[in-house]
Amino acid sequence: MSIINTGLVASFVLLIIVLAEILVALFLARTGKYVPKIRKIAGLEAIEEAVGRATEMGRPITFTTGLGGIRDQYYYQTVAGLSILGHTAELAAKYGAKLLYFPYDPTIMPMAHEIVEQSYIRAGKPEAFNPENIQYLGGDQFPWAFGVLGATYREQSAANIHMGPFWAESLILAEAGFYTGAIQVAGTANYHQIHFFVVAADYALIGEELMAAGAYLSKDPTQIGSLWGADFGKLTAMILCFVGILLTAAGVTVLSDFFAL
Amino acid sequence: MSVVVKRYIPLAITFIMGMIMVIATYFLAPGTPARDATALLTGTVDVLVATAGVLGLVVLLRHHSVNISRRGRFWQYSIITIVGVILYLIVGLYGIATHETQLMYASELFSWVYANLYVHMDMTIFSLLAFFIASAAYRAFRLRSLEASILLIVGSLMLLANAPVGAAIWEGFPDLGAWLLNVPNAAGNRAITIGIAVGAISLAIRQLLGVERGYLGPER
Amino acid sequence: MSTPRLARIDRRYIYLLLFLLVSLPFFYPLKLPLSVGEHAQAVWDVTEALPPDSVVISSFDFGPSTITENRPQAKAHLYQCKERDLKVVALAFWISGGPLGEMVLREVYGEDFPDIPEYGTRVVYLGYVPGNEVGMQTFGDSTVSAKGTDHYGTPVGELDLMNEVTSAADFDLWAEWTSGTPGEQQVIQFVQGRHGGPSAVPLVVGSTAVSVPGMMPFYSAGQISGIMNGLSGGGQYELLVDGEYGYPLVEALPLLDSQSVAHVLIIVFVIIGNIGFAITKYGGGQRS
Repeated sequence: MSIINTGLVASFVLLIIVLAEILVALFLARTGKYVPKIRKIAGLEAIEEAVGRATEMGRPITFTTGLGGIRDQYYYQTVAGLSILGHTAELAAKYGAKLLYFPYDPTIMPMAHEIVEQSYIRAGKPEAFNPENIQYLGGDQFPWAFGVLGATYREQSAANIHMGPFWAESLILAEAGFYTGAIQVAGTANYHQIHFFVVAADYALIGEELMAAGAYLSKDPTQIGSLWGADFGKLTAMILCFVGILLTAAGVTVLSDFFAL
Repeated sequence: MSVVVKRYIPLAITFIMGMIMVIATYFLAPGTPARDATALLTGTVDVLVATAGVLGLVVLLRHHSVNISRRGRFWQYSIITIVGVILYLIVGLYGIATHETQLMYASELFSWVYANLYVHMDMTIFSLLAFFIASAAYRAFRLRSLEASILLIVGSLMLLANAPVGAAIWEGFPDLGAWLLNVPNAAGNRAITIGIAVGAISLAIRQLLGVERGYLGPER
Repeated sequence: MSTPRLARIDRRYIYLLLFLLVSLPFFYPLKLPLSVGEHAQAVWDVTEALPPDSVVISSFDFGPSTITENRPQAKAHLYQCKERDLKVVALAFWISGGPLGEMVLREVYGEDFPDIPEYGTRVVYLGYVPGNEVGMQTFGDSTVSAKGTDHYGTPVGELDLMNEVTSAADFDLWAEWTSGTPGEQQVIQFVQGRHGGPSAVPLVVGSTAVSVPGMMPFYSAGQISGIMNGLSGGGQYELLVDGEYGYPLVEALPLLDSQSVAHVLIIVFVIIGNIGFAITKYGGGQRS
């Protein structure tokens, strides 16, 4: 009887390898032995510009975290989006801009409420927090998307920030924002929507850039160290691909047999 | 509320629950009592999430009720929203109350409303995406740079390959489209998928260890 | 130098032209010929290779918004399964897929479905199976644990077919009709990967065209055996089914003319926009 469940052996081994790489990188960063430099992510740097623009124009910021909840497979994108929401809310409070947030899943509402309120308190503007600015529009894809679209047009938002898991509504939201003249910063790890944001938004975060957002914005050396560890994970994948190509070409199936375990 | 309650207890719960699910996924065989216990845990979370659905409904109704009472912007549409929600709820509950065999089977009225109203409304809204794609393609597909040019050319080729008109213009378009999908697209998507997966693992480890705390709100 | 009009056409003209030209083929069909591509052919070959009495899981994981792309795919495949005497266990892991699956089954098996002689022995409809990907995993481990009754309230123990199909070991093919999540990736992760891989649980997918590029790594790796690519893939499959069995339920083929018009129009707009862009970039600089 195997210790690890059938079909998951290779997955577990790879998880341990990536975990080890990330933990080593975390440890090195935490102890100050090596804190990697992280390249600029234009989309995240643009958030402050977007908030500033909204303040100057006297128009609100529209923020969404896509269609995810905390229960599904895309929760990690939603959580990354919520981290960015906290950062944006603090900037909005500091500059005096109105921030509208439209959660898709009701499970996120209490979290968002807490995050935005705490951000306003941290910025020293607790009285500026308005819970009515967090509006639940309904838990279905297109009713939600068109609710956001309608709010974008009615409020004439000056900045749209969309960070999280998106599906077909991504282009709808991005186009609506363009035609209201909003600056748009968008990010998703859903591969089938990345290109819509790249094409239609002013700044786009692609894939793991979204997941690095929390670490990037916090500037915490420990979190940044974990990004370096993740890069090693990708390097491991590249080496495995290259070795696999060579072995398969030579007729050696040891690696493909391992991945079938 | 103290920092212990607001931050450290949630972080501890996150770590413990995360480790339970990892252990269950990799080491507990399906059908064993331990695995069934974690399935019970997952089911409990489902119940909590369903409760949050009720919260969402209450918030939605409250928001629109306040809008109506204050004669806020577009308050007339708030009436339509509330009437729609309540009517469909009544139709669904009526089906449950009158159905003989099982709770989840829809009544004929519910099915009629679904098939003749909801389905068509959803299709209509989704079809608006075609117009947005047309306007986005018109304004964004410009030969600004090498990357934008590649995007434009490949996008146009795929448009022709995916519709019969492409084969009518040149019989090689469908095969070219298949090659683009199978070779360069597969390579690029493979890389993106692996990158996203590793990034997700990194984020999950940061959350489990309590290093990433942005979702709890900023620290005071 | 002002931007020339070509580069700033009011989008409402674009929308109006698109609406008019896409509607035209409904009145004046173009009847453009369609050839079957590699990916749809692969779905056909895999299904045709199944021996009679093989069990096909047909999963309706889409909503009303993508009915135009997914329904023709599912319908054509189900019709082929019926003609080939394959046993079908239909279900949905999307809540919206529940009623949509029933609509498709009624079209293929007759308006009397489920009151047909073969219900329970050759075809069963379980309806919505809750739990998303966890529901998929549970269904693969033990079908009765995932759903104890069919869509109509009959306990699965009373259905002969469900006494044969108790876990993924009994699936001969999984046909996934999807437009999002849970979808084909979750089938690969939670069912196929846990029960012997693609050789044990072959997977064919009918999907919206936007999702297909992301499936290509799985298709190249053999985890997905065939793909119907959007409306075009559905139309190609209708051609295949019609050629072999005669197919009275054609739905996608007439719509492909409108799709062709829309695609050509988008390319025309892209060209017009770039002409305007070129005039702005190169023409304005020379004059000033």
